[in-house]
Amino acid sequence: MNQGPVLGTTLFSLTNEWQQRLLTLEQMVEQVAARGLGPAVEVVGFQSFREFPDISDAFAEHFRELLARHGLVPGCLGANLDLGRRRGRPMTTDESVAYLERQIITAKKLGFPVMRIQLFAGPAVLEKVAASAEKAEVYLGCELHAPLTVDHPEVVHTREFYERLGSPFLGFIPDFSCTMTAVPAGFWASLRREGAPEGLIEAANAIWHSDKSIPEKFGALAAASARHGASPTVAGQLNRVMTMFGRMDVERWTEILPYARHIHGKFYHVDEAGNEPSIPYPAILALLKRVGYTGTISAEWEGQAFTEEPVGLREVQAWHAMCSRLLS
Amino acid sequence: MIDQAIHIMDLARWFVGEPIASIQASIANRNHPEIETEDTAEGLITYRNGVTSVFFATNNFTYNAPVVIETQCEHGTALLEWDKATITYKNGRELTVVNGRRYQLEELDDQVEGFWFIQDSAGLLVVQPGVVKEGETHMVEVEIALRFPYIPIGPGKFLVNTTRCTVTQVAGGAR
Repeated sequence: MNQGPVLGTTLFSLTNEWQQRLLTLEQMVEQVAARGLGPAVEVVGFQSFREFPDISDAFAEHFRELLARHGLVPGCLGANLDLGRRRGRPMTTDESVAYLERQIITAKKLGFPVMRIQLFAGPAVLEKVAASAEKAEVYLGCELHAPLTVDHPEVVHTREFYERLGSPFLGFIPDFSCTMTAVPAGFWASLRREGAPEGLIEAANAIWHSDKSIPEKFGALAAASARHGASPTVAGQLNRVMTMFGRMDVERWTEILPYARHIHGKFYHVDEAGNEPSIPYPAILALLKRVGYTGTISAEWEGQAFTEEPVGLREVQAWHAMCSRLLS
Repeated sequence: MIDQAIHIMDLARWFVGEPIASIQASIANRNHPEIETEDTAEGLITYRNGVTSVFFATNNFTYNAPVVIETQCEHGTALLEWDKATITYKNGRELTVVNGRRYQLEELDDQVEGFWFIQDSAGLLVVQPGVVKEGETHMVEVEIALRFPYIPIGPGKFLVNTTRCTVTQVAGGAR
């Protein structure tokens, strides 16, 4: 029996189709099944469920039946800790706990075994929600997304807390955005459309590839923007080069994988040769096989950050072909 | 008649917030061939605080007309039509429409318990009596700052994305 990773798809990959009302929730699930993009389905609650963060019994039954009918299984529910909901002040610890507990109940009702939360929840909140997670048997994973790295102080702090608490229902959700080898071409294309000069793009690319610290890189980007007379829009967009794409070494995932049951298979484009030019999938999947990872991985196409084209299904299909090839 | 219109009259009374002082009204079956009771009622209600209201109700009409309550107040007009409420202020302040409700821009700050679903549209209504006249063409520039409540970028600070768009629009009728 194949004991490797279980592939799946997050409906977040179909953001453009969804936002443009080209597909309903039912049609997205149907397409995922028909194109063999399952079995694990991940859903960002606020994006796809109108009733979220609470869910009626009737909707929960409808959703579970919908997946079952198509031979799919719930993978991960993307929950949100919307700390900055109020303009004046962040949510308090108690408000955060209550907000997450609502979503744990929803995850349980919908049948999701894993719930994604944001790393900044921090030990004070996590310690209080751990009991609810254990009771509901919903595993909470703090997402490790660029610009975070496994040795970021907050990540280290959270790991130490996990070790102290020893709960089997707390962990991390690695996102491949942390370990990229190039800035996606789609990102540069979007900057060109905004009128970014080639010289600025070249400078920004060089800064991204350099070994400066993150604050130094932000400084260098701001200086380059000023030098090239970039518009405020371009200068603002340019900062995303540092927040969306990380350069951590793939091997560093080894330290975190014992805490992972679900992974975001982030990607921006799978080219005609079947490769993702900005993320080293051969090395990442070889690592997952080597350490015996048997959790789920969602195809997470984030190209919608740069384009409104409804190409999510095609990209996810190409991702599945690539991963199946690399894992076989 | 009593079965249906009574709820709307009750709601209207609740808006006024006072008991009824007097009523002048008439009811009759004016045109309905099948029912034995009255099909239409109309009248004037005076409340204890001096507010007066007129009502008209019929279940013998040519189509399923909406339930409408219109309130004329000191600072503006409130119109309820089915489940859609429209508040138009006399000073012409801007009103925003989200989730079938209208808000003043400054009211939106407090709507932290509400969620605006990604597939729903929101309309922006610009009301400027005397400045924007029906049939005129205006250029409207909208700037939306979206704060990501789940992406903190410093203590108490969150990522904000700003989008600008400009549309040319023919002004509609005053409401």
